[in-house]
Amino acid sequence: MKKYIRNASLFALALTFAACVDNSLEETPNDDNFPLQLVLDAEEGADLADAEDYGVEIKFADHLPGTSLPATTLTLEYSIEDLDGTMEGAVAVDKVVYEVELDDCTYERELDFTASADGLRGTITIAPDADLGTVPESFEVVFTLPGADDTEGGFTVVFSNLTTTEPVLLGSPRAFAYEVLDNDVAGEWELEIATEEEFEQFKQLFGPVNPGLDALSFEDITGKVTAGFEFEEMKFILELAETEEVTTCEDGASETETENKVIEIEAEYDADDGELEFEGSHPIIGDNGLVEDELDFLAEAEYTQDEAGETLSIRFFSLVDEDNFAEGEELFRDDNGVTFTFEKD
Amino acid sequence: MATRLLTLRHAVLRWLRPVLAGLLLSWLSVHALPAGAAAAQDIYQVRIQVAVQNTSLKELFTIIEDRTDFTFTYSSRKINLARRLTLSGAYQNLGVLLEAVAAQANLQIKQLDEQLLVKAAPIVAPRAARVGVVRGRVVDDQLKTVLPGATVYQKGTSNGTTTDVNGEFTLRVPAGEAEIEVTYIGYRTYSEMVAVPEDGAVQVDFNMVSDITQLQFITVTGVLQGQQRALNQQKTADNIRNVVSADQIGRFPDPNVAEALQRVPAVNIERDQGEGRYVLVRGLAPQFTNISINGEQIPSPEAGVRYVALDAVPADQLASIEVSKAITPDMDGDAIGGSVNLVTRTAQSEQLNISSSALAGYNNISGKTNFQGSLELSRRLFANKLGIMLNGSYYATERGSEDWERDDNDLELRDYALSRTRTGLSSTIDYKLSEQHSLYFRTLYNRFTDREVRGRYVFVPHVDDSPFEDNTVERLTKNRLEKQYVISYNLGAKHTFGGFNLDYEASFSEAVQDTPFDIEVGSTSEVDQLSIDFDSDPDFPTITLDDQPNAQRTNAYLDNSRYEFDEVTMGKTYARDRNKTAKFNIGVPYKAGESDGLLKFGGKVRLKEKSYDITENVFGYTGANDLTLDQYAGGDYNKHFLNDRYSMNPHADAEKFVRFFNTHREDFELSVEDKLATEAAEAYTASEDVYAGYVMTRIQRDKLMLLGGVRYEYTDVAYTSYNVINETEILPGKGGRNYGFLLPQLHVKYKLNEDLNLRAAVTRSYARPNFSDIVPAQEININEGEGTIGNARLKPISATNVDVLAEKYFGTVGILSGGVFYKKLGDFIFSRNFDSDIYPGSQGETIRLTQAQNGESADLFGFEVAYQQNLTFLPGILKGMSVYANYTMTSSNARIQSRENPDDEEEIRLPGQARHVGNLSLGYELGRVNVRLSANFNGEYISEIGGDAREDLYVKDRLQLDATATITLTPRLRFFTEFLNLTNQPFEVYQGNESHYIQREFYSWWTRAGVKFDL
Repeated sequence: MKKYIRNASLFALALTFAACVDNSLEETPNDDNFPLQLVLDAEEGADLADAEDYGVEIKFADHLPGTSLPATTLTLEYSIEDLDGTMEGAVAVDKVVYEVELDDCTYERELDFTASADGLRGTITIAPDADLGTVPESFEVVFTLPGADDTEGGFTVVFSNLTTTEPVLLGSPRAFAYEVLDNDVAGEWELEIATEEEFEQFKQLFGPVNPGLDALSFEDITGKVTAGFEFEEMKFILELAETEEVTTCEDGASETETENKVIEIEAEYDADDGELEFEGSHPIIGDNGLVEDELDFLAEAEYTQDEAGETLSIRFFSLVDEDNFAEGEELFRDDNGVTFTFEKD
Repeated sequence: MATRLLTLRHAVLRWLRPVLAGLLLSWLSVHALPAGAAAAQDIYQVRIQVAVQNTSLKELFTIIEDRTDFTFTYSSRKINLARRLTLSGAYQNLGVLLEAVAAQANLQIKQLDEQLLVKAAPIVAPRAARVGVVRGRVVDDQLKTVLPGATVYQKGTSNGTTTDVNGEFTLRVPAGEAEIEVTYIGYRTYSEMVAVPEDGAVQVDFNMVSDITQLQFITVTGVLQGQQRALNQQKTADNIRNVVSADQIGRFPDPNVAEALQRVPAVNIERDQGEGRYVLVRGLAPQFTNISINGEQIPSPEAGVRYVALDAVPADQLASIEVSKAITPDMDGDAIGGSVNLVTRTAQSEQLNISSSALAGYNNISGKTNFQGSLELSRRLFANKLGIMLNGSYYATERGSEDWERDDNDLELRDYALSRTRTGLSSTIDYKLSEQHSLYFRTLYNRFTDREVRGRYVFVPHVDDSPFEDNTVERLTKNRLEKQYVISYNLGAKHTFGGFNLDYEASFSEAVQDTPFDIEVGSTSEVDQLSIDFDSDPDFPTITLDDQPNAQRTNAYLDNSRYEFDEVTMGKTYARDRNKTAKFNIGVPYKAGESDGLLKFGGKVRLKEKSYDITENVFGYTGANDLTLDQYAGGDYNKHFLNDRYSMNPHADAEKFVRFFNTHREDFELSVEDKLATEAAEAYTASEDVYAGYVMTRIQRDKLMLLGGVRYEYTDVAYTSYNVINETEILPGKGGRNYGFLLPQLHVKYKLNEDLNLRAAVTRSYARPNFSDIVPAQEININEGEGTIGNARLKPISATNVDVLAEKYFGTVGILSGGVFYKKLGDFIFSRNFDSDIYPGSQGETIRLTQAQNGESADLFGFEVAYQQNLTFLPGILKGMSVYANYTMTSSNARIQSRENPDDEEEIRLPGQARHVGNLSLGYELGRVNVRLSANFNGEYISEIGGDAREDLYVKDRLQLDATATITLTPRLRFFTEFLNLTNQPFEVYQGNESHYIQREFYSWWTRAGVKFDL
């Protein structure tokens, strides 16, 4: 019996020391070092058929405070692939540029790059800027495009093989797909608000998502409204009668101009088969006059164009946001619609 | 600091002066006595031989008057002439004889010519030369185990003491022969004549024999012994106290300290995954209860709180658990609910003792086994001088739970799988330098690991037809390891000098909670149709998804390829709490007339450092290729969730995901702002220095015991943290304060007879705020007009406590007790909302702030009854029955800022306070087999105060049924088996009213079986 008890005691002792076994992961997550990541600003883009060039922005992703950008040269390879339509033979890197701000003045500078004979491959040299002491935080690779009205097709630019002696990774996305912007509403359009009634309609529609607009009267505007439809995004710009002095400084040359103030309403859009949907966000101002929250809004409309493509009529039916979408609570609702007709700019 | 030390020094001197003055007066009065004696015939010249046994004082005076020319003069109103004395007769003269009489009967006898003037002795310090010390242990004659809580008296006097947790006692008696009497519930009263040397000590062990007549039909086993030990300690305690002895813990299937405590009257527990974790005494939240080991507070491994998760402590390590419901001045004052003291073991015998246990079990929900082993070695060496005790235990369990939760219209299914281990290592080395002086060194190491895998399905239906929302199902899988360590080292000594006792101790303790990884992988899917019915069956809501019911295996929510990766959170935390403590206690015995007293005073310094560090990295996926759940799912999951009411599929596998993450590091982008804001808002460091001193006296006159005194505690706190403004701006911040509490305490115990005590206590105590409330970390969102700020100026909650209790002990090892208690809490802490333009980063904007603040007051009233008895008076085989029952009713109200109208007040029930708490346990013993069915009832309580009364969260009442069976093969070998949570009682939370469940969590049943043996 004693033998069994002693064996049991030894077993109990063994269990006690078994406690030293740690119940951990087989592989430790590599989450406590934070290499800098060089990433593309977007995965895809588009421009009008007659665009002569297009810039793809490459930047360092958000990084922790106290982390310095590399002070040594990096190189990055690129290749232009999947060219189709009229893009073949017309696309190449034109330049690689970045901006430096010194003494409230913006200077555009270029990075060196080498390209293969066909221009479809090359290497960008990201060297430290003498004034910054580091490589730039972002730069733009500008591609030449055919620039013809009948341009069609697209291409893909792939970046690879980042070489560096510093802890920098080439993050995702690493490829950028370009195509010709070919939806019906693409481009710049202009609306002339000629009457107070027309302005009130515009205000009734967009006032709820723009407190600045809601406070305006007809006398405060010039009547000019532009609508710029780009790749997936658009912007209404309402010109005000009030002007301001705007000073810009580029490459050491300072210039001051008098410009009209504007009110901008930005949204993403989807235009398809006569139906147009806008999706954006608008600020909610609290009692203290500060932005308390930001709510998404959604506007539904239809569009038509004349045969020549010179006018664009947009008929708005509704505008709702996250807090006001139920029937009867919409920010704007008109079953017959409110129409604004824009002309090609 | 210097100023504070000076203040403390002045305070100590203020207390010491009257004490020293009293001692001086006493010494002078004692030593002035012989000088006053002058007569023609000196009593020291008169030869006399008197030997009496148990003779009254009056009879003794008559004998002396008959044999000498002296006459006694006294007032029969002031002298207890019925007092019985025993004199051996070995006295050389009348003077020496009268000295012995005076010492035994607490008299002053003065010679005036031929008259002997007799009067009661004033309060005097004992004359070292005439006093000796009886030290020893009280042990079971059969099992040779020590008996704590035994009453040890000098027979015929009120001079007595009780044995400590090691069965040891120290009793001062007049030098010479003394008859020492020992009583213990369930044992025959024992007495023995002891020759006590002048100015020295004698060591005696008393062997107690079970009272067969009382305990007929009961086999005296370790279980019964545990019950005896607990009740004897409870009975002889000076304050209102419940004791759970280690053996007694074995009566119930309670694997950890928290669960053992739930059997104590007026104690309920908060559970985690079905296992007891936090202790609530008398309906007060865990922060109101002080947890200590061997009388010294344990630091908390958790970041924001002070209280200790007691599931980290294996019950095997302990000799006993003491729950003091009314504190004495020599105890820490921050204990409003009560003070729980865990007492570790000490070597008792010169024989090598080996105690061991081995258990294995099964958990029904996880379908996996659990096992436990413990080993204890102890021995006294070098003629009993050196004692060494080593104890180790290990417990590993694989558990699980099935849980559904509701958040507004959303439903969550939670599948938990846990691997928990508890390791306890402790040692006690004690060395007796002599009979009067001993040293000890105690170490304790506890390690608790908790690996948790939690798979969640979150169904978010698109209920309001918003064009901005979709029906979504989220899959979140958490995988984390949490390790808690509690380490303590105590080095101390106990000295018994001629006129006083001294003990002192220096200790270091550290508690750490280390979470080396905490990973949660999130994936989401959009579905066309999703609806949840909470009403048809409130117990188990039903889901219809793409027109298929929840249990359907073809339901779209089970298709892991539909879930796209959303984000992964990878975190780690490290919380540390460290105490350095030094303390001393001095006890000076004295006599006041017929009464025996003890004057005690002492001081304590505790320096605490607490800190919390957190790393939280949230990564989004930027890779070009689609990443869906089916690519990183795997591992175990619950295939019969809630009895197949819902179906599940494999959750995200953290191992698999981490491998993917490490090899595709460039495809994951860190959310920098979130990381900075979260880490800054939660991390902090704090220091808290406590200086305390007390003076108290305990006086016993016949059946009445009075204990009174005062304690002063001064606390100096300082914190550093960060303020996070608008989730982007991070500013360093700091705060601190100091406060002092004067805590008078009074305890009265009246022994109506040997088995019936009446107790009453009026005490003052307080509770320090949780660190999470006082650390000045702030999260301010000016744009949204709101913020949460800490409150470094928060005052502790103070309390006046009144307790009255009657307790009747049965010789059959049982008790019937009942009492009432009342607590008046001041500066009650609650969460307050208010508008202010004063906060870090303010530029004059008024925002709505939320901050823990002191409220008005709260009242808590309750009564408790407890009954336990072996029903040996029943006829026939019913004699084997035993019952253990207790019930506590508590009522409370706290006045806080009205949630409807901030300018008004409203009354609420104290969070954590259950109105009804109770236990009922029925046992039956047939020969060597003991079976027991135990029910533990925990009434509903508010767990969280909402924005208004409708949003208050209640934990629903819960009745857990457990069973245990023990076969005692020999007193040293027991087989036993345990079944817990037989009826699969869930943990349920509702909001506002009982029909609105927001959580139901099921643990199913689990079992253990094994053997315990001693060598």
